[in-house]
Amino acid sequence: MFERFGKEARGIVTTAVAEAEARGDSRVGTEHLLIAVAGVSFPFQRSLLGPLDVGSEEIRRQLDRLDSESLAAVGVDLELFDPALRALDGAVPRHARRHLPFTHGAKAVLTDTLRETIKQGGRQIGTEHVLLALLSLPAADPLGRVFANMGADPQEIRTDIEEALRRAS
Amino acid sequence: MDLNKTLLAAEGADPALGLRAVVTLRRLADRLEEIHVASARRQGWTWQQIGDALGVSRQAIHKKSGR
Repeated sequence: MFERFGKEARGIVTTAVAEAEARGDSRVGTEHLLIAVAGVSFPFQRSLLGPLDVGSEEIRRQLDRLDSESLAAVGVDLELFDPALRALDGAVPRHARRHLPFTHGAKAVLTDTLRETIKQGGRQIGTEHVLLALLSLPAADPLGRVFANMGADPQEIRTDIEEALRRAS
Repeated sequence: MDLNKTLLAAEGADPALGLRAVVTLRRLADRLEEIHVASARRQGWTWQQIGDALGVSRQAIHKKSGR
């Protein structure tokens, strides 16, 4: 399915897989794709991203915040855990697994990426198409809360980017 | 933690947060397991002993952590 992916878009997928491995997650999800996307460049002004105009490190921080929030919701205080345990991402060499599976949501994003490319009249899947697909995720996706926490309106950012891409073409 | 209170809270809570909490706790538990299994091995525990302590089979823990 990756033959239409351009070099940069392919890089996003590779980085997302590495990110999931490093965080010790059992699946590659939309959050790993977002971390990867935050670290690439786009064929439009980055300021169009608004509150999402941040690097990968800030997205990781937002995901940690989501972890704390979720634990607090069930009455567990993450601060009670040893900081070393909380910050162990990648510190312990994990048993190398052959292939981490993608979550349903992440697969949907990759499929949607092709749809975005066709819609924008592109031939190859670029970084902007992965981003647009991430911004179109249903609100129930974990990223919905990340976007809300960052004060970002995915629909609005999406519209701005689509307009900029239309003007540039 | 009052279990009844936790159950009541789960009724009205956002499933996305509750489910994410489960995943986060599992990940913390996995890390904790890795660290303590490695430590037990260094102190000469057998896979059998570690498996018994964790309530899983010797094979299961060897396959998960071992070499």
